[in-house]
Amino acid sequence: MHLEVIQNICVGCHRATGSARATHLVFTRGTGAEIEIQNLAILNTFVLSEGPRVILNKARGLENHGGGEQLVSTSSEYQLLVDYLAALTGQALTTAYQELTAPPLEPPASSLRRASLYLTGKIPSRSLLAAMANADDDQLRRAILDLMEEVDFKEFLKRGANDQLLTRSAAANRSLADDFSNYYPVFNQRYIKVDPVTQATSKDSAYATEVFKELAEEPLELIAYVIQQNKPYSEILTAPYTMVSAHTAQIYQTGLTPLNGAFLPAINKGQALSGSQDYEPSRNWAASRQLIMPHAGVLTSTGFLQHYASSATNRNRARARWTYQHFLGVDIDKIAPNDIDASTLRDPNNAVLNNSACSVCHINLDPVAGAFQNFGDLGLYRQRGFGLNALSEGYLHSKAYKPEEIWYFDMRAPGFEGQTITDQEDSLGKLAHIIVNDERFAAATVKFWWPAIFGEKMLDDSLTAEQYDAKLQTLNTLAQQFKESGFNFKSLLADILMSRWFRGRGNEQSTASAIYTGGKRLLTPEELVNKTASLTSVRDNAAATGGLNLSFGGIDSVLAEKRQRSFGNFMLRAAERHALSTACTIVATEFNLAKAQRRLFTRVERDSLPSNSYKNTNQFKVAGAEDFSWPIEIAAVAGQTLNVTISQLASVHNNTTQDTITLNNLQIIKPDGEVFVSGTVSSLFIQYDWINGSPIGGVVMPYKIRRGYDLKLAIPIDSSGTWTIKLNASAATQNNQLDISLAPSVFVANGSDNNSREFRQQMAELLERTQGIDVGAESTEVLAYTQLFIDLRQHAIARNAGTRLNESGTRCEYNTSLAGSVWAADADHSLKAWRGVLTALMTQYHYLYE
Amino acid sequence: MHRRDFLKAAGITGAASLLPAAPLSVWGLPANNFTGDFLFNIQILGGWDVTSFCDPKINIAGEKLINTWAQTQPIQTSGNLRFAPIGDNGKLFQQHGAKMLVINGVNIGTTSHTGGAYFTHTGSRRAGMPHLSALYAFEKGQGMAMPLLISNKIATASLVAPTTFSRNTEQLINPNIWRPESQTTTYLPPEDLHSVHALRLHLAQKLKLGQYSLPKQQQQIDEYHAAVTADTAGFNEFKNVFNNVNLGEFTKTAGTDAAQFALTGFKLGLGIAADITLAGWDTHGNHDAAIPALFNNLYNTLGALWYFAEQLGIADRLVVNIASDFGRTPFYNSGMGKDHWIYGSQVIMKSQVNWTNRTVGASDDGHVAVKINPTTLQSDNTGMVITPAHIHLGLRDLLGIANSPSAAQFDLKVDKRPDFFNPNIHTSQSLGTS
Repeated sequence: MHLEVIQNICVGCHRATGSARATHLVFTRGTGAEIEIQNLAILNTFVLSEGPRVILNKARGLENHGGGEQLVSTSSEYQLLVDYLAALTGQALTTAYQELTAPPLEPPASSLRRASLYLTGKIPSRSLLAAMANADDDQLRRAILDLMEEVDFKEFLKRGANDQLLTRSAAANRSLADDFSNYYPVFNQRYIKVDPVTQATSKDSAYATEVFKELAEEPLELIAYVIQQNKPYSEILTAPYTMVSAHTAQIYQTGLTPLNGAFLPAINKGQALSGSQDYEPSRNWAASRQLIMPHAGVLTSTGFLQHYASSATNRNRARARWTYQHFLGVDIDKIAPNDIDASTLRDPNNAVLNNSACSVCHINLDPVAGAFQNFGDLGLYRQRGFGLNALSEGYLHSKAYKPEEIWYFDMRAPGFEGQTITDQEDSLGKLAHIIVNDERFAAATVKFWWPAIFGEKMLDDSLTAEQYDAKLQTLNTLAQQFKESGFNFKSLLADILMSRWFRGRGNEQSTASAIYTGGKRLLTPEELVNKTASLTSVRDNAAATGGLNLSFGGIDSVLAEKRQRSFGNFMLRAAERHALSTACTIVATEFNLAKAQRRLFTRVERDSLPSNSYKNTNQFKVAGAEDFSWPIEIAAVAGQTLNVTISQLASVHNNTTQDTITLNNLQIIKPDGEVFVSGTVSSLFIQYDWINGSPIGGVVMPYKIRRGYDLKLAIPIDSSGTWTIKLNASAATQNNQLDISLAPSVFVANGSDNNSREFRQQMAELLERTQGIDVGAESTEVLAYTQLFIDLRQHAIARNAGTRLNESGTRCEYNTSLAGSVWAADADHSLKAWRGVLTALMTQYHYLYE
Repeated sequence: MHRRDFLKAAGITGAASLLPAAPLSVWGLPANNFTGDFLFNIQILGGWDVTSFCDPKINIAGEKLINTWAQTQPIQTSGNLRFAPIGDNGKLFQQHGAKMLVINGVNIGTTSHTGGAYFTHTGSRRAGMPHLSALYAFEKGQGMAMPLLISNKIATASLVAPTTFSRNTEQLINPNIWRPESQTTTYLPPEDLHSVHALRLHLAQKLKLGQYSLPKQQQQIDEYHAAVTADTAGFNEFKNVFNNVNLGEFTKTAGTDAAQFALTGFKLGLGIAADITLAGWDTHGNHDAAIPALFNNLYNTLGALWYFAEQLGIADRLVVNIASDFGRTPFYNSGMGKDHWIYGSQVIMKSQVNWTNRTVGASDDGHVAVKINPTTLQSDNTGMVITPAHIHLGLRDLLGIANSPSAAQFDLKVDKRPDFFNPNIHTSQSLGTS
């Protein structure tokens, strides 16, 4: 182990003169027993203090190891190290991950549901999900690839790219206005307004804002374009074009006229290079010359360059650092030594060039920075006098500067890890080609996009050794397949979504379950808003942008650059705000559509309730007496009554005499057949205080009604089962109409009648659509939500909420030209109850995590 | 307590627009049972020049210029503290020096922003460590609705879900209110929302009782459950208390907004830790032109913070920690900027304690940390150089979490414990010229 690991690998940096000399592990180079004993003593001391895992993790590039990954966990050297440390510490240390059992996978429909939401913002239709129930891997993969052909896939791509690149910060970068007005004549003409009379100038900031928004989207559109056009993904860096929209097409003088927010590929020919000593061509447009931009994909876009702005002393190093991070997967910051001494920083001999403590990073960083040599602080191309270079003003006036120099003499020459880039005009284009041909580009692409799917970095220090090994294997496999596919991005994304990392689910019996932790995660605010819009057609614009977005973990690319992925009470409040502000609109939208057109409420109407309440209209076949019978199943619960109203809702003859109906005898039969009450209506009306109503003339001998009069019963229920109301009534005229409504006063969630079952079926479907869980109509979850509906409806009755959804004191954002009496009609208080039920559903764990 | 009663109790009716001579106190508001300290961590982003602040350096003849200001002005003092005459530093040290423990000569050991900030705010270079604020919120703020408030993402080691400040936070104090300015119109009738909450609580508890083999899923459910069951009673008074904090003469900034929000949350039992950032300190170019405004902003933020805390009656329970990625070179670069320097300083603030108005640790004339004796705190060639790990050890002691299980889990692995909070000793700052 000493020879194979310490001497052959570690001592390269971990020696007295190496870049890791300031760590606790400083070995001696050489062979011989004495050196070996000495080195092992140093290692043992460290291991017994820090534990063996630290060494293993560092060897594999974890724990901020400055040297990155030195040992692949499948290598024999790694195994030697494991064996040594296990013997030293007595601990059972895992070697390379070997999959013992394949993890159970979630059903294909579940995978498609989540993939669709992430990639397109849509929850698939019930029919599509049903069709996927028994799909094999090929079918699922094809369905996932189909998602990438949808228009909305573009938003996923742009959002995922911006989460890494943060180019949308350009939309708020006011500093761009000066640069653009001094170097882009078309921008200048629109931005600087001159009063024709007074010649006073003013600035059109609204125009600038629109331009900045296009600049912010430019690199993201480029990435989306490359992917959607099925071009090799490497073109995101090598594209000899950019993307323009309405304003930038003009500013870049492309001759194109994109409409409706569209972006088109084009070459930027709009920037002027100074034709004089004056830096700014705006001082003399006539003397300037137009530049044909040597594009290098996103690298030359203003959005990218302004976000990683440079300065006189930074000299493009931020651009280089993030180029390494985004496109090569190398975090140069982590290579930085942890124990620099002051003498290094005082080193007068150009420490970044010559001092090993600095050059450990700068040897790679600075040549890449040099490749950005043509671009100024915010991204202009060679903005200095005569368009010669983009060097800092201080440097140009220093003794160090030599005419015709375009890069700093005291920095490493433009290049990449030993290769020099000699093309001065298009050094970035050359760098781009080198990067996409680098072995690390494919793996970097996997790492770049992993968070867009999983909401976390692919490899980080929180992983267990087993997880790290398993992920490393996945990374290598995905990268290899990606490369072999000719950088087919859609194929890569499908591979990721088909992987066990996305599809694995829990199984306590499986070792694999501790490794493949499942793909379900907290939604981003954009995904949450998309999900609601997809399920309901109601889009919450307030939550999609602005402060609510930030409160639910979103980013603004300026102050908030990283998504908040863990959930707390304040995020719950943001989700609740989203639910509260949309629930009423969703309910109103749905119930003002025909059932067949609705997305959620396909089994109920405004008067559908979780009970066997019903209404009946009867017409007399002849003038004279007729017997009627109305059965109803009802549960005897505390306070239960059966509310019955017998009335005439419509006049048939429009004649008070002809329309009259006489209510003769009433009989109420209990479930066991016992007669509860029986007698003439008029006598019962006098006898029982639970029998009320308004007979014609206010007299009750006999009890007569017509339109506007009625008989009301509130029958106290003392036993469960089917109660029967029997009535003998006489019509003054044939065809007279008699209406009856029967409803228990207290609904129960588990009613056994058909109405209640149908209602619960509706609730189960709501749960399936909104939560992605199939719990069945008789589940405790469905019963709980049904009970909530009942409670909310009862609240509305108790507070006399009126017959409209938009009751006094509440806000409903629904926007319609229909009269309130139509769109908000809610005599049964069902819509008010559904409003609350939706609020509850939309703040549940399964709604917020997919 | 109704709003009018509250205002009456607070004694600030009708006076909100006037800057009082002394901050008004708001006493008697209900809070939860937490009686410990509140932690407010300020991250100075980019690396600050402490030689122009709390570890002032004058120039050395024949050496590179350290500070332009030192060509014309001497080092200033306030109480036992020394400071540089830049921006509002004078006001800061004169008004708040009595609450300050300055720790100079801190070796961060790196010039990487990422690594420096991580070490400074977690106390360790090891991966997977939490910021002190996250550790504290986890240990002492369980069950609170907003145990940790942040302005940008920080390392939490998955201990706690932080609340991010945003422009619309006011809207979320009561999400059911249609518009914050109109308290009468709601989306749902209150009794309906109450029923919704009751069901949510029931289902969350049921969810929590389930068995989940995936650690990630278990963590998600734990987070959701904690969010649902958090103590939110303080939100009922939040708007009243927040709006009645007198802003004084301080400029309203993102930092003061965060302070006002966080301290209101502290007062009402909603949270106990905040972690905010002040940006713009990476002064590689035109350093002298940039730093006055930066220190002014620091004074403004700290001044407002303490002013608000006094009004809310929690100043004696407030611990403020101010630290940066690292320091800046004791010399200028060709662009008159200052680059990264591994040595820096840290300031801990607390009122009404006997260990402030002191400086511990020191750097030499060239701003290189000197070794100190951890017991006497005096310069000692056989002693130790202070690192953020030592300071975090002290802060964990101060906050009463040094012996907690999570402190053990996130062990700082330091073997020396400088006696930072011993009021009877300090480190002589005679090195250099004053």
